[in-house]
Amino acid sequence: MNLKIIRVTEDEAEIEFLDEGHTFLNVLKYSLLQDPHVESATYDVKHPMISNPIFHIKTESKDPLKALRDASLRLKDEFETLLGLIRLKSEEFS
Amino acid sequence: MDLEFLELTERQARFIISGTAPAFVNSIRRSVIADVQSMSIDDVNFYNNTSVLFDEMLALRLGLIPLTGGEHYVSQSECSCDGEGCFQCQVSLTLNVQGPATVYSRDLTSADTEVVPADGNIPIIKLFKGQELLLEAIARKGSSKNHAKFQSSIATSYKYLPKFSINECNGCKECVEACPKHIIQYKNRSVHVIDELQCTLCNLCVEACDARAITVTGDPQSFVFYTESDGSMSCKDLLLTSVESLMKTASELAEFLGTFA
Repeated sequence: MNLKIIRVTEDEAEIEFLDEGHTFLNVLKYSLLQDPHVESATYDVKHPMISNPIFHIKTESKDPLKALRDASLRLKDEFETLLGLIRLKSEEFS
Repeated sequence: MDLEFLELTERQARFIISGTAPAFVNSIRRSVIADVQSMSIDDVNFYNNTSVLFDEMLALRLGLIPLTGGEHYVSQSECSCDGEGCFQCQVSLTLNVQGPATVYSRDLTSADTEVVPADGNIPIIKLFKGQELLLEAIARKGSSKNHAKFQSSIATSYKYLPKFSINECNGCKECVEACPKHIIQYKNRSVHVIDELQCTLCNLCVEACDARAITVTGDPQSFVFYTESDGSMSCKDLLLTSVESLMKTASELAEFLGTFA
């Protein structure tokens, strides 16, 4: 996980991701927006060949990096659930 | 979240995934296409090529042949040999055929019986009398982000699960005519959809109906996911590997943030 924290305040964070693209960032954004303390979550790629995606989070009474961590943990759980479902349902299907 | 397989073979998989969002399913789609790694021929040493194709044209064709056995190897960049090349990151395949004959993928002899062409019937080149092909091909592991030849999946896609509602049909049968998939039938004084999963949500039936009796929506929480494998791995492994990769990324981010959040 290669990232640079450009700016962090008590309710805002700006993070540059070096090795990720839409594959992960879009679903990370979705997970962040599920958190009621997250006011806004968005990412921007200025140009795919010359810059890295910049993620911007704004929260209401929650540390933005904690919100990001909770969002990643929720995603980890969801992917883990899906793995279990694929294994179980593929067995059942055969 | 729930999952229901409609189709599952080594080469094809179709399932309904529900209780989730488009962003989630899209990440799976992207991961299946780009994050899964497999073996492909990456370097070719030609010792004799008197065929009608140039060396590099044959090398391209060889690279596109799907190879099995990627689970036993690591990519060159991740290998402990520092990119020098060793038995953990590469494997050698040889080809030695004299014409007249058609060279097929099954003619490749691998140093590792686990790494073989997924399909032996792929024609590589036709050799005429007096023509010969003698080469050594080095296969490595990569993802389609490096080169499309490494892509293990074919035709990966998803759509919203179609949901129909039919009320007060007047029997004009305009929708039966209009449906390009021919999945609407008229029976017992009303139209019925005989295969809802075939629907592409084109809405031509809705437009054709003057009585506004038929409506179709895509359930924004349920999706029909389809993918095929080129044979380099089973469809089940393709799905598991891609979701594992996503889970690992999420886990790494959480761990990184845990060190100071």
